[in-house]
Amino acid sequence: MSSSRASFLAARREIRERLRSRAYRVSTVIQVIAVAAVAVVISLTGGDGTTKVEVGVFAPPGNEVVDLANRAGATVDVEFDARSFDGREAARSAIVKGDIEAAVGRGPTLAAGDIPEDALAVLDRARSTWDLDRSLATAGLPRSEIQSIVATQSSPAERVETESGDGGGGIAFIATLFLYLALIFCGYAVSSGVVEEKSTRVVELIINAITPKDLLAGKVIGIGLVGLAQLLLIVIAGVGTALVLGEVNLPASTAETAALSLLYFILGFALYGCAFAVAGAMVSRQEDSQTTTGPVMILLVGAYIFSISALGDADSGLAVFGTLFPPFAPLVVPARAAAGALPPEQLVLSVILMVIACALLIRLAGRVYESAVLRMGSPMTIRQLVALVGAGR
Amino acid sequence: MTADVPQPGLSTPDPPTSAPVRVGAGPTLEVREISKRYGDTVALDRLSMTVGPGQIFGFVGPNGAGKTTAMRIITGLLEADSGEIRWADSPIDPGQRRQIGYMPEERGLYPKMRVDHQLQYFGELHGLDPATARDQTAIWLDRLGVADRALDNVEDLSLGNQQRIQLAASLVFEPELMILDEPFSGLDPIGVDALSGVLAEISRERGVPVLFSSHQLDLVERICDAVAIIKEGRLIASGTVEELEEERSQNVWFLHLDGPEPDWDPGLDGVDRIDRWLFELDESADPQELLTRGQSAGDVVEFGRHRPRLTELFRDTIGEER
Repeated sequence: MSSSRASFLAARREIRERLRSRAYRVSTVIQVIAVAAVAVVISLTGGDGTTKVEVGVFAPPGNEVVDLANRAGATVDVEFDARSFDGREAARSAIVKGDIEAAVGRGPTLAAGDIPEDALAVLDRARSTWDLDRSLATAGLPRSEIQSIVATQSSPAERVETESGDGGGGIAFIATLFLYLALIFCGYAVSSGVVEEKSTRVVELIINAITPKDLLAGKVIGIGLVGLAQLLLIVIAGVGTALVLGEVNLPASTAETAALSLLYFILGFALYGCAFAVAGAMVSRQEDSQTTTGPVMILLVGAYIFSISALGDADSGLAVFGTLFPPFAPLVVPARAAAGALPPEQLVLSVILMVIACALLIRLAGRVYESAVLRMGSPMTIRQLVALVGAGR
Repeated sequence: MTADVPQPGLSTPDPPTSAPVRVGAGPTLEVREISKRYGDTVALDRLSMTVGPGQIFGFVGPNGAGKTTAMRIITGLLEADSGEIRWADSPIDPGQRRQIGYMPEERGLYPKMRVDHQLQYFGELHGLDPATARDQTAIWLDRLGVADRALDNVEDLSLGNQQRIQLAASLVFEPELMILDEPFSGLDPIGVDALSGVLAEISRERGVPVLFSSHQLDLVERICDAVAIIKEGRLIASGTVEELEEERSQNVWFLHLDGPEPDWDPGLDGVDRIDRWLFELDESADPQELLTRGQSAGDVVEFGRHRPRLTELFRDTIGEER
């Protein structure tokens, strides 16, 4: 039998058994409900149909502009609250901190990167209306002509980047959390599946028919595909709920985050799936599996901690390290992408490093698994493993 | 050993000097001088035996004698330090090993997988197309009397039924050779009959050599064409059950008398009383004289050459090595 046919059979079995298992169905339903609930909560707290925008007023004619904007905004359900600031720079730093979303006064309007587009449009229009109105009136034009000229003009606001990028912080947190959970669930499924085959001796029957490498490949691919399908369902549930409710202004980076999350799940699972398989192959009983899956778990937890810290400061050295260190990248990269702080060249480099790491680990895991999977008894030590692989069996 | 008489088993531990004699049609399994050590422990020491086509071959020996190790080497799960496994007169290759129906001692099934899915999976892994795998699954479940459990998970079955599924898993792809490690352990007499019946059928129908290990010597004696007794990794005796019994019974005679004292002794030269009615004769002694002495001591109830049961043979051969 060809190697791909053997892997296909093993993968198909994993998929069929995983879909049959109650644990998988329950965890999928819970996660789908959880992410949909998060989307509902965001939309409910996001406003009861009216978008509220805090606007800083640092100089005349700020208050008049806000009044104008409120009159125009009423028709599109946008409401502006004016807050006074002492000068343009004070208002700017308030935007950076996220206290307000825009500021008007003398000179160009300031607006946060994540201000809702319709609110900004109303504010811009109000500002240009006021400017034109004033200057045209000074020039002595009749009221009707002023109106027509105003309608064709606008003065765009200057965009100010806020600390949390373009507001993808929440999405980044959710993406990272679900990726982390998916890698843990699927990784554990691989190691416990390997141990189950060893402890029940089923592996002796399978190895009689197909090679250990084909079995390993089929197992990782099968469980990975099931995990990917689960993740896709979660993404669809979250984004779909948000779109149906129509009240959430999804940041522009959402699609990119979702795509990167799926890509990095595939790469990350190729890496962690193999590592968990090797950890499983090193023991003969389910009770012993924690001794060998522990180190892999620690790496995965490390990746999660790094991704959370990368959310706090997406440009830090730690975030860059996490992006380029293959075991951490699967969680750090989607987090930074969601936060809008991932330079393209770092992404490309990260993908290249991931692919190289996967290729090396898959090859190594194949040899280790082959050597360890038929060995019964107490958990293997790393030293025994190296000796066994070195002997080349 | 003459060439015209089928002698699939070897009667001495010496390695074979000529090609195995073929019995009927189909390939022969030949284990040729395999040795295996684990550190300082010798698991197998130049073990040789031959299982002919259609032959049911019993593999017996005390615990730790190396039976499982030998079977794992035949299936390819273990590598021998030296020696080789031959199939159809040449070294066995991985493709041929895939055609071995193997039943490991500690069993091997997915506990949470459905019985029918499981058998189809093993069928397809061994190269059956999906439709044939389904058909074969149905056939074997029916034949082993567990068709009504096809949709259950393996873990929900009784031990006996799990064992039947295990056997079905090794039969579903129509193997060319069966290697079964303790297939009868833990089975009730009905299960034993069902399993041994199927083994007899497939060896007869398709000429499949069947090698199995067992501690149930009466069973081995009943269903096996040939046996090998091993101890500490070495072959102690091997051959057909009749041959072995013949060989060991040459000079022991059974004389059951009605009348004399329990410690009656014929008082003949060259005759040793080894049990109440058992007498061992050396070459100089004549069994007819023993009978004559018996007749004068009482009524002869039964007289004949004693053919020891396999159980006794086992005890004797293992014991005399000690």
